[in-house]
Amino acid sequence: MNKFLISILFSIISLWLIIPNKILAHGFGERYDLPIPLNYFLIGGSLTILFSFLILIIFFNKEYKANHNKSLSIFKEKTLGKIHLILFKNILKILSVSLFLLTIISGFIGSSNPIENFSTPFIWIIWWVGFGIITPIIGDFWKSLNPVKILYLFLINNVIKNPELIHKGKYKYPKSLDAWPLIISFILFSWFENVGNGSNPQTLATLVSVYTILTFVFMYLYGAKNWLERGDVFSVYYHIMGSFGIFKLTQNKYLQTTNISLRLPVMGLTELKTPSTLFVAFHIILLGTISFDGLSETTFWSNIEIIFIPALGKAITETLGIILIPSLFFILLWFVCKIVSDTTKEKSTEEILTSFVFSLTPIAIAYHIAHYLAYILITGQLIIPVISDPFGYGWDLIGTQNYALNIGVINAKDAWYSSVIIIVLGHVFSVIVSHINAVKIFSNNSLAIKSQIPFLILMIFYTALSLWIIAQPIVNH
Amino acid sequence: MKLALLHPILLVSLFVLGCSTENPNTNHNTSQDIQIKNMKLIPELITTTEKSTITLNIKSDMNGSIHIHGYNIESELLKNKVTILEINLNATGSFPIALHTSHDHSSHGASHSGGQHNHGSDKEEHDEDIIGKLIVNPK
Repeated sequence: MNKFLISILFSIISLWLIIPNKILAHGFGERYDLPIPLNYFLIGGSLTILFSFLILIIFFNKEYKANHNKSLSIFKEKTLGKIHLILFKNILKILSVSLFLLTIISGFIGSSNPIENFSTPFIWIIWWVGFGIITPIIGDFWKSLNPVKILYLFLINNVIKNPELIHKGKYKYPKSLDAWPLIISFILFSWFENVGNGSNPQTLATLVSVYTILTFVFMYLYGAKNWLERGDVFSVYYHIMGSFGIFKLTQNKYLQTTNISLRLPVMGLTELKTPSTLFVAFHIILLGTISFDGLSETTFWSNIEIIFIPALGKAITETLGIILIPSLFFILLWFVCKIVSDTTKEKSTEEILTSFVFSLTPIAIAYHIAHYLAYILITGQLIIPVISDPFGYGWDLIGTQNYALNIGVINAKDAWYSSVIIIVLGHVFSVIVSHINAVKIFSNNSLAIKSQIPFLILMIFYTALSLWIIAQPIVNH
Repeated sequence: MKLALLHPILLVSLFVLGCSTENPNTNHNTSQDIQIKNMKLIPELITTTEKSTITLNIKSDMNGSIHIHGYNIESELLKNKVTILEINLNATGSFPIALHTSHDHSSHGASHSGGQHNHGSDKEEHDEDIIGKLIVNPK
């Protein structure tokens, strides 16, 4: 137990100690969002509580059979082998690799001004934020579109001609590595994003190149399948986010897509496994980061900094704050799991924690989408001029070089309505996922229901926190 | 019978029209006097409503230029002179107001046509300070 707690706290603290600045989920670009007014916040909060109790009443006293994992196969292996689908898949793959190469080349030889270079808006806005919003809706298509994976598989299948290397590798994935590659890569990624000049196109191109080489090496050493499922931070990140989506992609040991099926939204999250306690830590860090991202932009946080900066200095104050939030997040979650363990007397706190850690994911994803909706729609337009002039040389290939942002593309009222609806929906999904997980691990329905009450309170708090954050004016950019 | 059917349609149409927020007649103009003193904007927040026009009469105690992000409007400021800036408020949001103290605006024209500034690597080309915000609320 102590070992478990220490390993999680150690990873959270080590992560945040290394990052000296605040984490934002976007590398660059300005935001013009207006905070949601109090009445929207209150409506969202009331709906959250109302839906919570409605769901609880629906499930209460009902023997629930977990048949949620059913999915409807829409493209089987045979269908996927048809010529037109192969052609379509290959076009998408070529497009993915082309965009990837363009990102690296434009980063190296293009303008050093981030908004004049294709690489910066593409990586930070379109891929990291935009693809991060689409993935929870449609599913984990990164599995098929990952350009590094596409290039590696091409090399193994057509040049080295040893497909066995895809799932075997030279060595077995070491147990001691655990989820450390995920945690370390996430630290580095976040650091470069916000502190290490990650918006500079040359830096970005260097980082993408280094990441590609390292991924190639690790895929060769431990097998592409093993590395992508256990050690590659982006594949794991998109897999978690994509589990929320309606399409499920199944791949064989040679990483070929063998089936695409349709499932109920969010249900993929109930199938996710937590392979180790360190993986739980990685997931908690992800959730904490998503929430802290918004919190660090609020006047609330800025007021706290004003109090402590004179005494401690800016760097220490920010570092302490950054450590505090995810740690509080973890302590709160652990405390709730302990209450559940004590009241149900069937499972240990660690078992509860590992089983329920994905229950909070829908709230985090919903918050992420709500938080970035206006950003992706407005700032995302920065990609339009650089498509015409990817290197910033003054070209006008498709006539969009002088495109000016349409800042009126989404009205604040529409953004507010959408945000509240999305966050409340995220809460509903979380409650459902949590209930399904409870049915899975507890021996009877009454214990499963009993376990849900502390979680429900935590989820209401987490949803209210998400609503509160988007109700705060943005002060930092 | 057909006429009877038309009544509810007409009523609903009138209701929808009545509720519509897209009333072109609600457009109005406002004017506001603001000052730039010791690198500070007075008042710091300029709050207004969309689908209207605001005229800002800006008096500055220094030379430079003022830039409204998002709307991407920029105007030169002359010491102790009033600069008039008219903005057609067609988008809601919170838009930073920046003061540029350098006269070198070479990077502002074509390169910033997207309405975005690079506050990092571009810094050495001109000094930019965010001195306030233009808040455009929805109707």
